[in-house]
Amino acid sequence: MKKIVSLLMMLSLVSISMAQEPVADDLDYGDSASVTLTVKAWGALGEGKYADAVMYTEKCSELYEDEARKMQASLTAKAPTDKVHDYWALNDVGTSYFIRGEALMKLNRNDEALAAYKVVTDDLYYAQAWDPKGWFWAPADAAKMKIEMLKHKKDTDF
Amino acid sequence: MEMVTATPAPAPEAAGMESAGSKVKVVSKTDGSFTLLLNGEPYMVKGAGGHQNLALLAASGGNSIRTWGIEQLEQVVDGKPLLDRAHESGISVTVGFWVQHERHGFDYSNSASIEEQRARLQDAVVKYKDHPALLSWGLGNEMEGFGSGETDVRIWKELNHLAGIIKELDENHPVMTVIAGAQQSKIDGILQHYPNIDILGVNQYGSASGTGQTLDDMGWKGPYMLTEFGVPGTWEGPATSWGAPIEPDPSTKAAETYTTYMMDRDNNVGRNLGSYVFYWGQKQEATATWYGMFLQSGEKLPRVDAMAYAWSGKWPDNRAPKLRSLETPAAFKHVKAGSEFHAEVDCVDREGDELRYVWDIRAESTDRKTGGDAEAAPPSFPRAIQAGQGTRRISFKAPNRPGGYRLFVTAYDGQGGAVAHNVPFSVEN
Repeated sequence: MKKIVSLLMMLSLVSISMAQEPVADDLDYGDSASVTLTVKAWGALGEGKYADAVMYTEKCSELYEDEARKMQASLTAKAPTDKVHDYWALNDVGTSYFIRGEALMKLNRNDEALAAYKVVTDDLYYAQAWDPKGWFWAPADAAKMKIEMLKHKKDTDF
Repeated sequence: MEMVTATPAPAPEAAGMESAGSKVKVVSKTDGSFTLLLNGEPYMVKGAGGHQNLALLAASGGNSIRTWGIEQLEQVVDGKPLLDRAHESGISVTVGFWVQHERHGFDYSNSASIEEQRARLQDAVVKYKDHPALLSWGLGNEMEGFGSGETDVRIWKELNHLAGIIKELDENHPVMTVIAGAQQSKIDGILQHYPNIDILGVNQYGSASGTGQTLDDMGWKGPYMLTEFGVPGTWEGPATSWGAPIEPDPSTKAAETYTTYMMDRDNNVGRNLGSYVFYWGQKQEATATWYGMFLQSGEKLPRVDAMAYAWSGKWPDNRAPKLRSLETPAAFKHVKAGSEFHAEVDCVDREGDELRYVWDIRAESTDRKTGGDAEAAPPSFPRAIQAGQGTRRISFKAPNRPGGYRLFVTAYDGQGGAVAHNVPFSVEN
C-alpha cells in the first residue's frame, strides 16, 4: 500500500484489455489500493475512457481521502525526497484529483474539472508524483496551470 | 509566408551597414528584481526557439529567437545569414553554443576534448560578439543530464570556465546556461560551482508556469528565462496501454502554451527576463506535431496564433483553422489487422476559408530519443486510406502488420494556416 504513484509505473503497468470496454458500474478496482486505483485511473485516461477514469478517482477519494487530508495537515512543506513515500495517501489522492480534472475536462464538464483541480491546489497541495525523467512533480503546480487555462478557455477562442 | 516589415529592435543600424555591436546588461534592483537592458533600454524577451519563420515571429509580436549550436548561425534564412536576417527583422538572438553532453560520449576528464571545446567557443565569441542581433550567449543546453541525481561537478566547473572565456572576450553580452528542469541538485551545483553565470535558463514543460517560484524556493535569487516551454512533454501525459503518448488536441495545446506564458510572465518574483516558446519550426519528436508550431511544409499551427495573442494582445488577421473533434472507433483501441473503420474530423475556419484535408496513417515512432535528439519519422501507409482522402470523412483499413499506429489528419486553409491532430491505435492479429 505504501507506494507512491509514479507516472513511470502508470505507463508500464497499465495493461487493461482494450477489446472489452468495462461497463462503468462493473469496473474492476483490483485490490483497491490507492496506487492501484490511481494507476487504473491514469490508464483509463490513456484509453479515452474518461468516465471510468472519473470513477476510479472517486473510489480512491472514497477510500483514502480522509487519510490523505490527515497527511496533508501533518505537513508544513513538501516532504523531502527520502520521505515522499511516507505520504502515500496524500500523493495518490492528490494525483487522483488531478487525473479527475483531466478526465472531466475531456468530457467538457469544465466546472467539475475546475472543482477537482481546486481540491489539489487548495487542500492537497503537498501531494507529489513521480516524473519518469527522474524527479517528483507537484500535481498542485500542474493543477494551477489547468485552472488558469480553463479560465482562459472560457473567455478566449483557442 | 508573407514578408512583413517589423518594428526594429532598439539596435538601430541596418544589417550590412557598419554598425556597433549590441550592448546588453542585466541590471539588479534594490528589491531583488532584475531587468535586461538592450542598448540601454529595458527589454523583455518575447522569444521562440528556432531560426525559421522570422518575419512571422516579428509580425506576431515576438522579438527574439534562441538557437542551440553555433552552426545554426551559418544557415542562410531567406537569402541572408541568420544573424543578419534576424537583425533586419527586428529580432535579437540568444546565440546557443552546444556544450557537449556526457550522454553523447563526451568525457569531462579528457583534457584534449575540453581544450578543443574551449577553442571552438573562443572562435565563436570572437566571430559573433560584435553582431548587433546578439542578445546573450546561450552556453549549453541540458548538458547536465536529466533526473534529480547529482550532476558531475566537473560540468558545472567547466561551464564556469567557459563563461569566463566569454567574459574575457565580450563584456557586452550576458551568459545564460540552460538546464533541463528546475531541480534542487542542479541549483545547488550552479550556486556552488558556477559563479560566472549571468542568467539561468530553464527548459520546463508540465509545470513551467510556476518556474519563478520554484527557483526561488530552491534558492536561486538571480535572473532567469524560461527557455523552452509549451505543451506537456511526451512523458508527462497519459499514454495508451502499448505506451503511445497521447497528444493533446490542438486547442488545448494552444491554450496551455498561452496560459503557461502568461503565468510565467505575471508570477515570477521579479526575476524573469522573458521566455522562449518551443518550437518555432517543425520537428519529429514522438509525432511530427507534438512540439512544433509549424508543419514541415511551412504552415503555421494554432499555437503560433496563441503566442501572437499572448505577445501582442491581438489575434492575427488570418488564424489557423480550429479542430473541434476527431473521431474514429479505432481510437486508443487494439484492432484486428485489415479491419475497416471510418474517421471524421470537425474543423472550422474563422475566416471562412475552404479547408483541404489530408489524412495519413503512420506507424508509431520507434526511434524515440531523449533530450530532443533528432528522431526519424516513422513510415506512412497511404494505401490504408480507402476512400474520402481530401474530405473530412474517410474510411480506412488497419495495416496488416501488428504494432502501434496513428491516424493523422491535417486541415489546410490555403492561407498559410493549418491544424493537425492524431489518435493512436494498435493492430493485432
